[in-house]
Amino acid sequence: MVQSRAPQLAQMRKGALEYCVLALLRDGERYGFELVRELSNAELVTSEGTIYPLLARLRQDGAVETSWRESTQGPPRRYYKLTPEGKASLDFFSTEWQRFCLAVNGLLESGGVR
Amino acid sequence: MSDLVLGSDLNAMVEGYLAELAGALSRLPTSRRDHLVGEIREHIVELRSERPPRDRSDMEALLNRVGLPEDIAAVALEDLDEPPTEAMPPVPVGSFTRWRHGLSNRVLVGAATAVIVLVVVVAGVLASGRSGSVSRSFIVQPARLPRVPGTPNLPTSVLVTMPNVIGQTQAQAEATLAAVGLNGAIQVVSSSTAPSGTVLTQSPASGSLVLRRGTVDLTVSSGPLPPGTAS
Repeated sequence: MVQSRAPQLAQMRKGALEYCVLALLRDGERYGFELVRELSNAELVTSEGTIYPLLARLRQDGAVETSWRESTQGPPRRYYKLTPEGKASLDFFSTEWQRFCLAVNGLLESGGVR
Repeated sequence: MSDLVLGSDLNAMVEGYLAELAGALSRLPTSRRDHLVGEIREHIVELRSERPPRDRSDMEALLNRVGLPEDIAAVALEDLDEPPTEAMPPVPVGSFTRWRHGLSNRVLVGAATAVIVLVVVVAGVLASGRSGSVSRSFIVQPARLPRVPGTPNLPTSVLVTMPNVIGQTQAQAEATLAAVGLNGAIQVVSSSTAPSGTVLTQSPASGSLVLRRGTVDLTVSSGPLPPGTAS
């Protein structure tokens, strides 16, 4: 997680992060290392290991499921896949997030109507 | 240092790191702990095969990237520290952490949080912006709105219904208004019909929705003009 001085901002990042994971799985399954790499490149995480507890939680919640696959290089890999439930959760969040961003951006830019 | 010695040295660093992680995760049930440590181990294997560390400081940089064991443990232990999902606690305004709960709850709570956040933001802007558009109506979550300091019995809704104070004495009218969080701006006028000190007119009319903590206009009778005084 990228460090932030504002605790609220850290909370928001944290809340959004798991939906970013779900979004990365929208177009097909990926293995853990790949997911972490993407989030790391997007500067959404600094400590890569912190994604794994989050993945475990998503699996426990039924948003993702996993399967082992042989790898051409190295040991077998655990692949993560979005479940229908996870997809529904992602769709819901996407809509709400857009709405939220629009509302907040509107107020941040205009300061509200006087 | 030979490759063999270096290799075992680096392996020892990884094992030491993973042992420290397992220790930090000691409160987790064994199966979850083993699972998590296994995943981190695989992650390290991947990182090592991508760019093999040449020495101890390379390996140190690699492990730093994976993160401090206590940081990883903090995320993993959050679940244990949170109350059970069945008994939903009140959602703190602006907190996104509750989205972490079970999926069905997550959806509901996510929506509720977003709505509450937006309502509070919008209400705040309306209340502070003195927009004066008193007829605007929207859903209010009373419990989420800040109370006026020092007036604990005031209703906490942003919009209040203007009471009827016509015919009341000025003191009664001010008390009636204060009870719903309004102030009266008094104008004194003469009247041949209303006793001195009673409210003749009010604006807005009773039943109107008014922004709480707003000011409403009252005219109060000073009684009839003394005889002989020009009007």
